Amino acid sequence: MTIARIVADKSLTDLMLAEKAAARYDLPIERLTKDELVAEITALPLEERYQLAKRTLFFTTRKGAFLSTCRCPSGADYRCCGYHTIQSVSGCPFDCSYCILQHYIGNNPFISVFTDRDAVEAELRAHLAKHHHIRVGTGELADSLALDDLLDESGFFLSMIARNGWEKQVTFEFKTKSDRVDTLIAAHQRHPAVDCVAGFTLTLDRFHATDEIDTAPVAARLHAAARCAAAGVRVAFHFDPLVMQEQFLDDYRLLATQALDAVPHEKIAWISLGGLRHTVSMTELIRRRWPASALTLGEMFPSADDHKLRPFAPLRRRFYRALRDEITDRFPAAPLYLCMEKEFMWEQVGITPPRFF
Amino acid sequence: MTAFLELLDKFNPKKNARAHAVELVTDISRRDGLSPDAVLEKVGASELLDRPGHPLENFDELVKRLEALRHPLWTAKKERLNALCARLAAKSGVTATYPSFAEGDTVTLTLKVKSAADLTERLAALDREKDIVEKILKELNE
Repeated sequence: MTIARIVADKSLTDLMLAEKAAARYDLPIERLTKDELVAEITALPLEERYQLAKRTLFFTTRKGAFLSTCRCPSGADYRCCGYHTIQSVSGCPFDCSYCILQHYIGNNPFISVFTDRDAVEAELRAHLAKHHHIRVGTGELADSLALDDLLDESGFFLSMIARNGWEKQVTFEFKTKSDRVDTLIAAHQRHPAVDCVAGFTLTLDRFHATDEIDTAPVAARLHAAARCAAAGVRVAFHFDPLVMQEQFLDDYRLLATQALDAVPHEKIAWISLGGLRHTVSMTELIRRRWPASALTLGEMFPSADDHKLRPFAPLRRRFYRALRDEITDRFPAAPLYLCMEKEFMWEQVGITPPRFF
Repeated sequence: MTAFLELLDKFNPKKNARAHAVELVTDISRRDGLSPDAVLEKVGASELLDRPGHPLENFDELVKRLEALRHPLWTAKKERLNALCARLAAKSGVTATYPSFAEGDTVTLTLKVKSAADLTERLAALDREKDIVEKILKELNE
């Protein structure tokens, strides 16, 4: 993955990060408005759009709040883990078949870096005035560490937490499909009291090759997790999205054992399990952009509340139970949780929410 | 045009129904490593084409068979649940409705009454047949 364009919003005055990027990639800084950049990119044929957009960094300021809650459908019977997200970057250099960011191709296709991230400090302060603790991360609309060597988000947020004395109030997760942990480890060494977690999304090797372009191979992610743990950084594993087709179950079991063998268990902050889920329109997009992907071939049905397709409930139960057994056989106190699942599924699978719920 | 599309078109399906059938055939073909023609052969498409009756009715049957092949786990569970619900209705007059795609762990029981005596009778019948309700719930949990 190489960055091919550096664009700064015409109205942007703080060019520090854009200049750093320009120097790193030896590229000029172009000055365009978001609308002008969108018009340029959307004029391209669809697949070229994706390719260029994922290599374009757009430095701008954020129009709305940075801090938000995660995406469990409100009003439905989902057991939410209370996770919060900070959207300091929107867009990702990685290209995953199931990624919702593909839908943003029409109006926000590139990697937007919001340079006014200082505003997060006030938002976190306001949140902590009402709540004693927050579990938060940057990995919802971007990979937290894919560009960390350039943007130093880990250094920025860990230093913010330390400066404000929020070490006991904030648990900050950097969620990634990369193995780029050097900047995070260095930030942790500068601020060892800050509770930070390196979260690794784990997938089967077969999907890394076909459905997660430019991400790190699974073995490299596990090696990075081991490096984090050795450096004192707590680690999380996200088996999400699980592709729930019978023939993959044994491979997932093996992956779970590999993950648990990679790091000392006391360094594992949490482990999440989540079945592949996506909107109906994503199915069309996956079929069109990823014709070789096996992801749409399982038995998936729409849920009544959020209309997302999910694997057939008995199949989810089978996968979750099998992985729960595999994990708890080796690590009985594993802090396991299910992502975006309803109460009935938690009960049927027999997972008790970890303390942070 | 490939042979399997020609065969589908002989049923004269509506545009959306045709697209759905093509999607089912393509998915099954990719999943099972079969040619689209072999998929259609597996569900007896030629036999359905020659079957008496309206071609669209035969096409509906074809789609039903393709859906069963595409979603075997749900099709099997639905059949078991429907059989249990039908048994409960026959024995107690109570209608059991299970969640769509077995996405849940509860069943809704509906009973119609026109008098208090009716209610007593229905509840007594339901009590006698509660093992069927238990089987429906068990099916939802498996």
